[in-house]
Amino acid sequence: MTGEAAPVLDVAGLRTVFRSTAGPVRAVDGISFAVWPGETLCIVGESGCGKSATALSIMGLVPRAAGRVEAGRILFDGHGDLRALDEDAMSDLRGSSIGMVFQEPMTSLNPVFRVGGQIAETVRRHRRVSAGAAHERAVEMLRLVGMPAPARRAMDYPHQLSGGMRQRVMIAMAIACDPKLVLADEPTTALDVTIQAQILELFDELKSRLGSGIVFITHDLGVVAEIAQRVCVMYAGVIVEQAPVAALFANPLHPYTQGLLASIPRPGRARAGARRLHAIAGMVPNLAHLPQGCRFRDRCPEAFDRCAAAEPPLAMPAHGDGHPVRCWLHVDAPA
Amino acid sequence: MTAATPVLAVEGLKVHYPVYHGMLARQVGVIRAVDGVDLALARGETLALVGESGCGKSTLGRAVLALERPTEGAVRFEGQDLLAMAPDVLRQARRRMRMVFQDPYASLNPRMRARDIVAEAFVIHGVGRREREERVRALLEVVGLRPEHADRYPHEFSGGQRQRIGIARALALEPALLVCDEPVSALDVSIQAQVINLLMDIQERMDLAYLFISHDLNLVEFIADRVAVMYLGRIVELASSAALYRRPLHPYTEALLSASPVPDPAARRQRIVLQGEVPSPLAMPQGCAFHTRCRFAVEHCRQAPPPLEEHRPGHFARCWRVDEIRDD
Repeated sequence: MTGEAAPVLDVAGLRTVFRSTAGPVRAVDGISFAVWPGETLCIVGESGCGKSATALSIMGLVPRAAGRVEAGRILFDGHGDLRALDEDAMSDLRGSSIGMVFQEPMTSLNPVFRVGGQIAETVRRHRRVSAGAAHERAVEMLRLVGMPAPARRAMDYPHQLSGGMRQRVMIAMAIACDPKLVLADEPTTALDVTIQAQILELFDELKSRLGSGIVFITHDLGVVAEIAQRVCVMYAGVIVEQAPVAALFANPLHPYTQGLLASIPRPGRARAGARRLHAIAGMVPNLAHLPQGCRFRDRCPEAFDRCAAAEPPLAMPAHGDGHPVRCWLHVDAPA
Repeated sequence: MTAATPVLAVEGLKVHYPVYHGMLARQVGVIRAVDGVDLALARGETLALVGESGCGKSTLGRAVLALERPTEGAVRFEGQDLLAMAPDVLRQARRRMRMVFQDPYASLNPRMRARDIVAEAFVIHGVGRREREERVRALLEVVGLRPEHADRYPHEFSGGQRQRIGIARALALEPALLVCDEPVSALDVSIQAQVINLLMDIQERMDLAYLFISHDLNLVEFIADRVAVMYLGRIVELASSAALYRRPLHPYTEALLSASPVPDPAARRQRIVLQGEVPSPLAMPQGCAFHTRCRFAVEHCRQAPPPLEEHRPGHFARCWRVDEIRDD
């Protein structure tokens, strides 16, 4: 985190509500975080925790029929609050100042156009350049993301490329206009580990090279450990813990984070050591039927009466060194 | 069957798919999805198959259950060749070799209640109604579901619970072998551990053999007794889990392990990033199939395909240069 510089993205009190058959559900329920230039912030959580809804909310891409951003502000790099911008202004930002990479590149690329042409179109949409210059830029971007024979590959259609190559095209498109911010939602989840390693390395390189801020959304704590500087752990629509990556893994404070970290098999800790994995009881909560008080309490091994009474705030722990955590265990009992 | 007879023995198995092209559907090539695999699996043992997508691990899993017709080779279940069996004998054998699928959403009939999904095998194999109900109740309990769950439909369950139903269905006819094809990769992290623990409990209780297909190398290290690494339809390394993870012999295994994310930001990383991608199975490289991406490849590797050889006791690798590059 750079001390002096302003954050490129500063989200405060973001709340996004989706319609559902069981009534409105708060997929994102008041979250705040900031991303500085040249850092990777990971948002980690399980299905339904609100991590993808957070990305859609920032981009202004929550489908109107499905739900809407209800509260909060999204300050982006001197553009003021993105929520105040109209659709034209937002779509100018998307693809230029804000790059996006999604999980499944095949559904994000147009199957009937050559990939080089699609990148060039993004460039021309946001910059006054000739078609020739845009094409050159596209090839240059493909080279930057490690595409072999970029000039030739630019003439390929998406179906002619492998999954890893398509994801490289998506990344090339996302960074073609030197974005200040890259939002990546599970960009390596559909890829093999060898290709994932290549893509993670690419993200790391781009972060240092372009100085962009990166919001990297994932469910995989291994990937978090590889790529994040700071981490937000989300559960049922809220951030339950926020920390630099080393502190999160060395000293997890929230019982949910502790449970998640304990439940993944670690290298070297084979059968001989532990006969069973640590399992978190219960299941991922249904947002339409959240428990009163702390959202995690019905799965929490350490829940006590205060957890049922009220939801704990996200706050610095009362004792010892630490980082923000949303848990009554770390708040002094009222006198 | 003697005590030493493996539950499953795969011998020289090949599954090739012809590729046709053009108006006359001329055969223009052949995809060697599985290209000469030998394996044996003992009672109570877990053998993991790992490798990148397209390496043939799922095809091998299906061929083991006679769901794919092999081009060549034999699959012996408890000593008997599945491919030589009469259909009714094969049906009997199939009671005891079952599959747990990756996607519990797609592999359960949405119009059937949990009890009927689990009981289907009993109906097919002629178990009476009263015994059926008793056994369904017992199976749901084994997989950690409550009796009232029996009357619910798949959409009323979470992903983890659906996988439990899939496991109960697989266990119905007291199998000796389960082929688990990515059984937890569609589940949330906090739910994966529950299902893995369940599989391990059941294995101990019923002395089951698992052929465990997975891309999660950290999970495989935890659950497997032995690991087979596949590349382009062939096993390139086979060893005990402990030996393979401590000292991989094949350069591909080494690279694969180094690419697997380590859930520890303080871990010292020595990553070997493989260049390029898996070659098309339609245009298999000459010589060693891995030479196009191997940092140790020499001329000999481009000329002749190496055999799978035992380099340490019980530790097999398919590489010409093991002795040179692993000089410990």
